[in-house]
Amino acid sequence: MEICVKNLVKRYGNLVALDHFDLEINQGEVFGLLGPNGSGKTTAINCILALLKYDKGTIDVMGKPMSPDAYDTKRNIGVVMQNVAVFDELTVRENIDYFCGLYIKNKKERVGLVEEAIEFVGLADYRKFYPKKLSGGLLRRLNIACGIAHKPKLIIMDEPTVAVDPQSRNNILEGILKLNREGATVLYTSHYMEEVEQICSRIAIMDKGRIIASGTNSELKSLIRTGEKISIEVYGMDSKVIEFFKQLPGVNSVDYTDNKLTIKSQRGKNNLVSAVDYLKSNNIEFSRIYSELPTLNDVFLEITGKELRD
Amino acid sequence: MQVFKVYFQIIKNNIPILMIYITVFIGISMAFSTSGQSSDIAEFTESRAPVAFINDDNDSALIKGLMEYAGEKSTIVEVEDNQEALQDALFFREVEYIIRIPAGFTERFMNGEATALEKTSIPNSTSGIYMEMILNNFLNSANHYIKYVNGITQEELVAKVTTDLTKETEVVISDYESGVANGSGMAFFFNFAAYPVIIILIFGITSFMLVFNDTLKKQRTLCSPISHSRLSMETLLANLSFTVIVWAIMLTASFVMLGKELLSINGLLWAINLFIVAIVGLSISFLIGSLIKNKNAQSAVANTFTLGLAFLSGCFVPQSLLNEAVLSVGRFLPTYWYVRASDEIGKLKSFGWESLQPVIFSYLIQIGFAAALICIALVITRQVRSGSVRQA
Repeated sequence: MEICVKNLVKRYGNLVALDHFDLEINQGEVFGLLGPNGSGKTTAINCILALLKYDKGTIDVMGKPMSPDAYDTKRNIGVVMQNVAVFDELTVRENIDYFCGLYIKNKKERVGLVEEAIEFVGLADYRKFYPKKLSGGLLRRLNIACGIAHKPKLIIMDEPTVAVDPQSRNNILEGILKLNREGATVLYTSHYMEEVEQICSRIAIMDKGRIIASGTNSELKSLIRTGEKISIEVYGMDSKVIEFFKQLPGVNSVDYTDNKLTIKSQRGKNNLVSAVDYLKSNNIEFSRIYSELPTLNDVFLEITGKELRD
Repeated sequence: MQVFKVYFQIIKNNIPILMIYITVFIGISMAFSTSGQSSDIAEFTESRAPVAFINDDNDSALIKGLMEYAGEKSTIVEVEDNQEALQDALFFREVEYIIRIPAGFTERFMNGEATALEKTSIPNSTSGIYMEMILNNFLNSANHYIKYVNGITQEELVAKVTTDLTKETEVVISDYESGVANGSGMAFFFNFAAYPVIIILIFGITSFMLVFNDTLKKQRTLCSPISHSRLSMETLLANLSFTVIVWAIMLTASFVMLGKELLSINGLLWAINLFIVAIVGLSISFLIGSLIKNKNAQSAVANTFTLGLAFLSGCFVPQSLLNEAVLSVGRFLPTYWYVRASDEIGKLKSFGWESLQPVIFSYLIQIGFAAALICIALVITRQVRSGSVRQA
């Protein structure tokens, strides 16, 4: 097991940031830690990296207890922080070389690794650029290169795609999967459920310092009652119509807000045709219709009663 | 040595600011050395005043001798012997001194009787005084021979007096056999040098600390396998190297400005004093670096603090000109003791234990200040470190 956290408690005064937090990550996984802002993801990561002292619990990384002086363990960890942490005074190449040099003493070996990292994040044309000359997306890529240049076995990424354009985001996500294919275990935190769904083999959902659900993407979705979500843009609908939809078989909830009708029903109950037939036969004007499977947001919503991005 | 390397990379980025201080220092020092040049006369050339002799006596050997002697020390000018011509010559500065030898002068002088030359000169003329001294020298010497050598002839008298007056005594200035000649001037130079040394160190070291102690970068470094002791060791080594470089640059500038005179024991003592104040600068920089959080604060604190130190300690204005209240405050500042040591070194002519004691005492006080400042900075750093980890 790469990371094993048991019963972790971290308090900031009266605020409980981590409340008996448990986490187990196996070797070779891309593990997603999903939760809204302030749910305790970064605190958990800082505790795992021994950057923060905690009040209770145990943390083992690569089978050994984690502590500030666990240098052998740290040698195998790569960290990509939420905020870009690079030196404005150094060029792209010098920055990667500096951070890689904290792990790899051999200069010859380091030269190869730095070049590989530059190619990996697609910064080959910006080697001699200073960070201030880079766009937000390129800066994020540099931030990632600084964290992974030494080829760590365990990579911890704390929201690496915040404020990144879609193209750079896709590059970053593809890069993470590539690192995983090359043998790295990845702990990935985000509040973007789509990203987590896209790349993570297992996911844990956090709220208020606790893991409230964990498993694979489908395991998490099977935890909730909703199996289908139908959304229809409808204009001028009265309460009688809403009542009709509530009577359809297996419907869990019906919501009509801002001309958007949302019908959530249990797994295996396909009510799309019935809904459209009813609207047509009653001459109710409608435009876009789409049916979708539940998202992790729905999982979070059903468990906590609030949206992931609240 | 990753931290060491990145340290000098950051310093490299700040070179333009640091160069401004070095240039200003050298510029001001050069201005002072030019305007404050000593007015001591290094060479002497005898001046020769234009003088006229009117001889109403006969052409005796005594008068010839006197005129010959006076002719060696002045330029004898022929002037017509009438009242108007003589006054014109004086008015137009053709002559500055007119000597009239009255009739019977030689006879009365040789008999030891009282007699005098008639002299006319431009009022307040220094040449007149000088000429008077020349005539007095000759006639007084001659008078002595007449008094004590019976039957001396005029020829013998002139020969003896001329020989006596041509004798010269060699004067060797032996005051500065040890120590330096321009001690106070050099001390002033070194007093001023404390300001650029301290401000350059503050700018350099705090620039590194601002960048390196940034929470995010610090966290990234702490995640790596580099130990805290190695991190501290590399930082300390880089700080010391930078301090030595700044000291060496300032010392080289001193050699350029002051020349070979620095190759003396005084020079060595000044160099040691400058190194100690550089260590004080390092500790001050470390303290400021652990307190400030951004570039604006760095500039404000560095300038205010260093100027305050320099003014209160006598780096710019000699301590002897500062009033007692300022000096009382200054005594609590390390630079006061630096300036004091520097002034003492400037006065040193001998290098025994007695004379060196005040200098060494000032050295030790500066070292004490440096140690105290480092301790305070370490306490603050520890508190800031634990605080920043909690906030992360």
